[in-house]
Amino acid sequence: MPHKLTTCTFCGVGCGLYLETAGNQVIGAYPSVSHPTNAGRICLRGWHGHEIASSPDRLKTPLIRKNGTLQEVDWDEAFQLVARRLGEVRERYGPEALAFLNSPRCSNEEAFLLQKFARAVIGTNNVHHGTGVYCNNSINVLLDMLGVAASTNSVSELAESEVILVDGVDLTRRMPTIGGAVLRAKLKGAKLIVVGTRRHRLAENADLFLQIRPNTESMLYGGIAKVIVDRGLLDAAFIKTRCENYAAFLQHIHQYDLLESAEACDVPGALIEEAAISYAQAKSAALLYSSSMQERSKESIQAVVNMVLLTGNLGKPGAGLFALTEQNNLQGVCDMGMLPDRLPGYRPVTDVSARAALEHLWRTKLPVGPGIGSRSILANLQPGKVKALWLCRYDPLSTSLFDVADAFGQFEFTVVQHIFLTETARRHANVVLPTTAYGEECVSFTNTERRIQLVVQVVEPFPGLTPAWEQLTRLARIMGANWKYASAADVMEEIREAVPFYNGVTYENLAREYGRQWPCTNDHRLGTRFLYAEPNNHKAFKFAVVAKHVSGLPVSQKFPLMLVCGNSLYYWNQNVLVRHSETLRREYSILFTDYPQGFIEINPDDAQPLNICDGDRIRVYSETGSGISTARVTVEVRKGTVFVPYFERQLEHQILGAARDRAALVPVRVEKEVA
Amino acid sequence: MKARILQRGDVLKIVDLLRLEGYEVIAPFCGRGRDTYFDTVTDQNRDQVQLHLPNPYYPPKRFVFPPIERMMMFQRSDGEIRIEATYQQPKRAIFGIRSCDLAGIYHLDRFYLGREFRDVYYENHRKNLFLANVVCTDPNLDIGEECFCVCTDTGPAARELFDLQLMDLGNEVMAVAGTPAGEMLFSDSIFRIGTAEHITKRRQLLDRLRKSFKKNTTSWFSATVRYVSQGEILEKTW
Repeated sequence: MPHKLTTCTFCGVGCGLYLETAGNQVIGAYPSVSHPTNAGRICLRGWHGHEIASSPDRLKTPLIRKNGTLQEVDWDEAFQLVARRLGEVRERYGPEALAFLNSPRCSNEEAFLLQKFARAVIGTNNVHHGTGVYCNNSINVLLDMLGVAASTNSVSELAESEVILVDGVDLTRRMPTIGGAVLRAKLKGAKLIVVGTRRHRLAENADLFLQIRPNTESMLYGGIAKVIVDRGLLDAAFIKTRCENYAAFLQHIHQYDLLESAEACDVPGALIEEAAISYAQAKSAALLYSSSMQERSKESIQAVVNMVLLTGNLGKPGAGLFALTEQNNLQGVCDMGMLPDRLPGYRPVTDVSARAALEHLWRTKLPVGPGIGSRSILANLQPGKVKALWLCRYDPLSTSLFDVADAFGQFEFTVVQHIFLTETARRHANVVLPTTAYGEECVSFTNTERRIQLVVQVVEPFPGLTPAWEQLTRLARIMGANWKYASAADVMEEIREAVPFYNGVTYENLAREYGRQWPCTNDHRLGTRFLYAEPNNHKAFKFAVVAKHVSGLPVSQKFPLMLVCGNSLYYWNQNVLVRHSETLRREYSILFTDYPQGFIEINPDDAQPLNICDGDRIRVYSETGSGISTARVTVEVRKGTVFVPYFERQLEHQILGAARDRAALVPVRVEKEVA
Repeated sequence: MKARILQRGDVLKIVDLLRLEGYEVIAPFCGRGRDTYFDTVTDQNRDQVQLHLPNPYYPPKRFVFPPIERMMMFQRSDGEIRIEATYQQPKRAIFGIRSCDLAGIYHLDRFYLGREFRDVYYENHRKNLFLANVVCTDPNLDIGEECFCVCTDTGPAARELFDLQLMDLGNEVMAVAGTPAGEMLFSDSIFRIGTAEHITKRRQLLDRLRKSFKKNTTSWFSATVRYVSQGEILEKTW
């Protein structure tokens, strides 16, 4: 039974695993003991993710919508139609009328060629990845304050951390391998501090759990910074030699007060103080937050980075900031320039010299101004601007937090590249181009610790199916571009030239070890385990002044609870890949055996006075609407809040009613529904 | 049980003998880093077969009880569907199987063959299976942080279930035949009769090995149960 070392492509951890095959089918997986990130451990998704490729629902032939229905056609017809229609839209409305969105699950090569196709062949900066519909705050803040939009340290270094602070993300469910690493570090003596609204498994195991009110992170970190400054626990040498803007930050931080923060966050002041002292006194403290799924404010991320700078927790092993990218290649697609305002390597599209370098490489003029982002496109914030849409492995209809139907009504032409007939493709695509799946192609991905890794081919794809990058190459040629990529390795050769910190990456170099962590340059071909080890290799870090914002509680006697709508741990339930894996679908649906009609979560302390028991039908009222669902009474959700999982979109709409463009927190009341 | 001695350098000749007998030989190999795995021995990789290596993450169970297997065939003729069972009966040898994995196979046997219902598919896989057990004698390579066979009294040297057991004594290897199939191999010239000194060396080595296990995985529980239940505890102890 042959087996090959490859990388799991489910989440951003990028675990090393072996795929075992029999004939032309993947029959199993098992982890690599030596892989530096997962060290012999994989989660349910790693064990069973390969089932997706064997799904009987795989698309095998291209589809074109004729007379309202999608019909099978041959590849030539599909490509000719796509080239003709894209050309027509560009001719009639200009290049800005075309947009190219991809899933953060796309490979580096796909992402790179998709944005190159948009910029160099079509002439638009309307490129974005799907996670961009939530926010790009993490990228922008990290670039501004640290100069690098990525995690600074490696997962394996968590074993060396004295203190680990996990902010907001339930690692044990969303990135279980990293969750395991955190728990093992705690067992070895590290102090675990968890900040968040939900009492998840990591919180249950924390030394300090700061269960804050929703959206009060910046007040919490302001209070923590004040404690650190007042007690003189800051790293003065680090600040003096490596940071800018400290004086303005210091002046501003004095506006914060521990007790005020405690009141705003509804967390005991002593707990905040203990967390601040523990974090600041540790020789190496790591801070982990999710940069992707949650709608996280710019200010709260700035406050987090300020704390890291204040304590000098950069440039040493076991410390650092982990901006966790939950989707498997969110880091990579951003590195590749799938951003409307940034070229490959995060250089602004308005940067003349950066543009000139790419124009020289691609031998064509590039668009000058920033493009339209995915949120604007899919939420139809600029109606009528975009007329043709390209979706690479992206299914916004199933995954977006907001209604995208209006936007699709505006598009004259939609192309979907995917391995399945997604809901978006079924309803809106004019052309569907089926492509290869995990294990059927050799491409690269970049994980949450900047590790660029190969995913190798272990089986032959169905005849006719080709990788998405190859389809883009073929289309570019039809449209007159002189693209000559014969393999994904050829694409990587060009990425090396376009992205400075990928300069030393070749497929041969990646295959020699368990990938390479960028910056991987010709001078440092072995990559970089943690950033900023050499004090002089980087310009000064920058403190941010975070405006203090104390908002009164929106609740009232009539509406005493706060409604929180979000994805949290239920994100994967709606995932198109999960739905096509027998085992994953079963495992992720377990909760629905108890709540087959969906649920709303409520804390026992809130449920008990209302005489609400688990499984009861309840009605949630806001000022503008109401909706009925089943109560899931659980201590996981914070007292005073009601949580609606994001796939309960209809319910969310009913509750919010006219206030669909909701404020972050909506006051509600809950009543038991009497049959 | 008969035992023989062979030179350490001749140990892979056992793999050759098994292949000559028509067995598909599965053996452990080293991969990248500390990754190790069982794979089929071919002419190309025969010299890379390892006697001592970290325990492969993926045990050789799949060669005895495959996770995916064709079990039946459906044939449609004249409007009728005929179902026919298909059995795989590979002539297979697992060289270098550890004592703990032997214990695992013992429990598979108990479940699939030792009860009222006998699983014919499993039985067919077991029929022609030759098990060449290698005793874990290298405390640095063979015995890992998670090894616990001393707790369950299944190792480091298995007492039964193998066709042939190999124990590295240094420059020489002691081979113990557990079945007639294993004993048949002793007719080859690489094997010679051992001495009492070899037996003493084996015993001393096993004594030393039992103390090499990491302390968090050493509880001797099964051994205690066995001593008690078999009346090996002296009366005065009670």
